[in-house]
Amino acid sequence: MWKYLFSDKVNFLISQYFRENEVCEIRLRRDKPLMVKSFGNFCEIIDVERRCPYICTSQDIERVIITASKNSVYAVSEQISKGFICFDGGIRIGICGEGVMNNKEITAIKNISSLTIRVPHQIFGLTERLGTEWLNFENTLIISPPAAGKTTLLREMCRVLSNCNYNIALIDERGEISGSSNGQTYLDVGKCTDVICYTEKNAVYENIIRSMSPDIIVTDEIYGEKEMDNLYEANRCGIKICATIHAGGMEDLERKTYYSKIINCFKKFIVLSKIPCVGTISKIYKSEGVC
Amino acid sequence: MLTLIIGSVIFIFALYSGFKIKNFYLERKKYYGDLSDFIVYYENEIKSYKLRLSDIIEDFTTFREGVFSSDLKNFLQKTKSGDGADFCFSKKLLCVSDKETVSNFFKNIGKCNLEGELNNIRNFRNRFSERTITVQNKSEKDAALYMKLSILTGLAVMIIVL
Repeated sequence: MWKYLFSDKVNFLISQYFRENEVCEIRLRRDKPLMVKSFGNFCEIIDVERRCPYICTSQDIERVIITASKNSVYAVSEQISKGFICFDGGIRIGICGEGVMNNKEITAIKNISSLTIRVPHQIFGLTERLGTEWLNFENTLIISPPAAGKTTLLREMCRVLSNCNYNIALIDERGEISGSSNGQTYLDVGKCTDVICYTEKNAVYENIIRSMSPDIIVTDEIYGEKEMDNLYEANRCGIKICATIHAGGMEDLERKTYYSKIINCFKKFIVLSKIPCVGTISKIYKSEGVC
Repeated sequence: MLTLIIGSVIFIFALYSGFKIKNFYLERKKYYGDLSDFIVYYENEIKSYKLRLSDIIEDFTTFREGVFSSDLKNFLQKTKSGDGADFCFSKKLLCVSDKETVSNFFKNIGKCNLEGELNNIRNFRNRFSERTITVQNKSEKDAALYMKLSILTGLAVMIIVL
């Protein structure tokens, strides 16, 4: 899917290093070398004809934006103002450039200078490391620094729980978990999962509880006091929660002041790490203590 | 007998020519009409639903025949390659200056935020709406005129030959 974003030349250069399904992240920075990551470190892409790193141009960046928006930048301008565009297959394109402010809010980003293209990979069987006890599901929080595999694990947990006949409401704000596009999900999130995507999360919690009667709400990257309030209310209604949060570990988490409201709601905490590799479960805590 | 046959053939040929010229002007009238309809449709769809260009073009051309629909579908196919596309005119139905205006509009289509896109549409409509009405009225008149001329010419030549 990510190949559609680039010209034939760039695709050819990347294919000299990686197969299409090996690419995890692509970074374009204007007038800087093209960088691609597989499941390890970043790699500078060399232009074999010129025998030097391939330097990204503004045309490369513009092509990605136009293609990702399907020639309809106006249709994704809200996403752009939030710093990303969603593409088919759950691909998320992070955008950096000059912010355009209006009433202290970013309304647009212009003169885009760099892009981060993250390609999701569905990995089956990740939950085997959690044993079978977790299927008697209790509120679970995955704690992880960025790019440590929390979304991949969350997706797999969602799929397994859904296939165990739990009704799941998946709140997928950027379409990364389900890979949704035009009403179709490209990634397997289970047979009993209702997906709400490309919507501000805090706007849907109340409606989804009333309209979809879920057993479990699954959501990524919880953040802010308002979301904590929403999750607290959902839990109070008897709905279980499976969520992720950006933090280095439990100690970092306890420092986040807004977390204290729902600290007692979660029974299990899974801490991920990038060492020795992405997706490593470094610790699992139960609310009674370390497992 | 031979002169009758020759006269008839000339008359039929003149009629056929008149028919072709009439069709040309009617096609031109339809082209301008369809272009105008598309601009209105496009503006409404992006204002109300922010639909993507590909969806808008596919919906618009689904039950619509004609040269403009065909050109629009070709334009959509080219834009899917991601390299940027020029709007190509399969037939010379537009005047030269109008061709440039339409080409520039489609070159910039879908590249701005909503406000910018609506401004582009408004500017295009301001420049083009009166022109469309003028060309459509003229095309209709020209179609009728050339048809009548071809019939009269055919009859006149037929009479001369006979």
